[in-house]
Amino acid sequence: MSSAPCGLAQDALATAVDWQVRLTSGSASAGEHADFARWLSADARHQAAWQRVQGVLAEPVGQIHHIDQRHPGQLPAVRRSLTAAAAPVSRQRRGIVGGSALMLLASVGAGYLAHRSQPLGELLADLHTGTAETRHTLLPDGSGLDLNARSAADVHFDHGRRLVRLRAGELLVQVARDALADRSSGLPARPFIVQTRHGTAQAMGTRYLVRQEADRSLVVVLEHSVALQTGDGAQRILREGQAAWMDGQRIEMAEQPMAHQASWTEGVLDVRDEPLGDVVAALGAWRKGLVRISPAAAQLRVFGVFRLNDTGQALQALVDTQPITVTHYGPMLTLIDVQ
Amino acid sequence: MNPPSAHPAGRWYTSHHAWLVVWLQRKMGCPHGAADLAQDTFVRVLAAREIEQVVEPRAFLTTLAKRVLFSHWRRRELEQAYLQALAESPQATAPSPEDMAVLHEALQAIDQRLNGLPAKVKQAFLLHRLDGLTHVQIACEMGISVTSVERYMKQAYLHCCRQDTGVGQP
Repeated sequence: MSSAPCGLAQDALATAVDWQVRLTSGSASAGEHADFARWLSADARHQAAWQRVQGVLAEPVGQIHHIDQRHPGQLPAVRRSLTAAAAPVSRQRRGIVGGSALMLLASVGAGYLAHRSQPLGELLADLHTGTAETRHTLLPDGSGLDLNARSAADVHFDHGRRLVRLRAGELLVQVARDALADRSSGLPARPFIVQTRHGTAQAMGTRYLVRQEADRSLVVVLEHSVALQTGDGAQRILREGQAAWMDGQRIEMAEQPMAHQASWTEGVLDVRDEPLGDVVAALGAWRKGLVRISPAAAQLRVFGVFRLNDTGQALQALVDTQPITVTHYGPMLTLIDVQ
Repeated sequence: MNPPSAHPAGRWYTSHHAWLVVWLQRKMGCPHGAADLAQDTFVRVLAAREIEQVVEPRAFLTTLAKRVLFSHWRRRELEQAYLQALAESPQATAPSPEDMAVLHEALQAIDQRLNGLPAKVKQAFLLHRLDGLTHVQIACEMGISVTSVERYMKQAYLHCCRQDTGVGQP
C-alpha cells in the first residue's frame, strides 16, 4: 500500500476522519456536504486520505453484511462476540516470558505480547488437554495425575510442598509417599496440595478428585482422607467416600455418594440422578463445537452410563430416553430443548 | 539482502523446527495444530529484524511461538463467543459451514483492527460501521451523549487508519 509522507498525510487523515464522522452522523447539512466536496477536490492527498478512511474494515464488514443477507440475524451475534470476548489486555502473569526471552523481545520490534489469565493461562499451563482428550502424567514424586478433557493444571514442586494448581476442568490424583522424604534425607514429607480458585485440598495419603466450575469446586475422596480449606479459611476433613463443594467461603458436604464422578478415567460418564444440564456440560468437554441447552431441559433428571468417545451416541441415547429434541446447526452448534 | 542460505532462519529451521513442533504440541495438547503453528512461527522469524544478533535461537523461537499461540487461541475464543452469541439469539439462523468460515475470518480481521480500543469505543464503532446506526441512535442505545459518540468515532477511525502506516502504534 502506498502512503504519503507522514506529516502531511497525518493532517489530511485527521481531517478526513473529521469529515467521515460528520457526514455519517445522520445530521449533516447540505452546506457541510458542499464544504466537504470542496475539501476533497482541493488536493490529491485529501483524496488519498479519504480513501483510506473509507477502506477501514470495508472488506470484513462487507463479507459479514453479505452473509447477513442470506442468514439474517448475524449482526448482533457478531457485535456481541467482538465485544464480549474481551481483547487481550496487559495483565502480567508469571512465567509467560522468561528473562532471556524478554531481552530478546526488544530486537523483534513491532508487535505486542499480550497476557491473559484465562484461556491463555490454560494454554500455557504445564499440563493441558483439549476436547475429548485425557492425559495421565507421572509427577516427579511418583504421584499419578489424570487430567480430564478441556482441563489445565500447573505443577509446582519445591522443597516445602507439592502443589498442583488446577486452572480449569477436573483432575484425579493418586498421591505417592514423598520420594524426597523417603531417602533417609532427614527431610519431612512435603504436603501434596491441589489448589483451585475456591480453596485447597490437601492429601492425607490418598486418591481424590478435584473439579473446578465457574463459582465452586468439587472434591471427592476415593481413598483415605483429604483436608479442605477455602479461600476464606473454612476447614474440613473429608473421609473416604465423602465429597464436598467449596465456593471460596464455605464448604458444603455433598449428600449423595460421588465416587462415580471419577468414571471419566475409564472413558465413560456414569450418571446417577443428575440434572441433564450437568450431563451436557460434562459431555461438552468431549465434543467439538458448542452444545446449548434450554433451562427447562437442563432440569430433567438423568440416569445412565455414556461412552465419552462417542458423544453423538450419548446424545442419541438421551433423545431416546428423555422428552427432548436435539437440533444440529452444522458441526459446531447443537441445541437441546424440551419437546 | 543476504542470499537465502545465509539467512539464519534457514539454519534455524534445520536445527530447531522439530524441537519447536514438540514444544508447541506440549503447549497445545494437539499434534495436528502444532505443525501449522510452527510454520506460522517461522514466517514470523523471516519477518523479524536484526535476527543475526539473536544469541539463543530457542528462546527467541519460543517468544515468537507464544505470540502465534496467542493469536491462535484468540481466534478460537472469538469463534466460541460468536457461536455462543448465535445460540443465545433464537431468531438468528446458523450460516453454512462455508459462510461460517468466511465469517470467522472477518471477525478476526475486525478484532485485530480494533485491538487496543476501549470496549465502549468498540461497541459504538461497531454499531455505526456494522449496523449503520446514526450518532443519535448509538447514543440512545448505549446511554451516552452524542458528543461522546462523536469522540469515540474519531478515536476508532484514527486507530484503524494509523495501523496502515504503523504510525501511532504502541
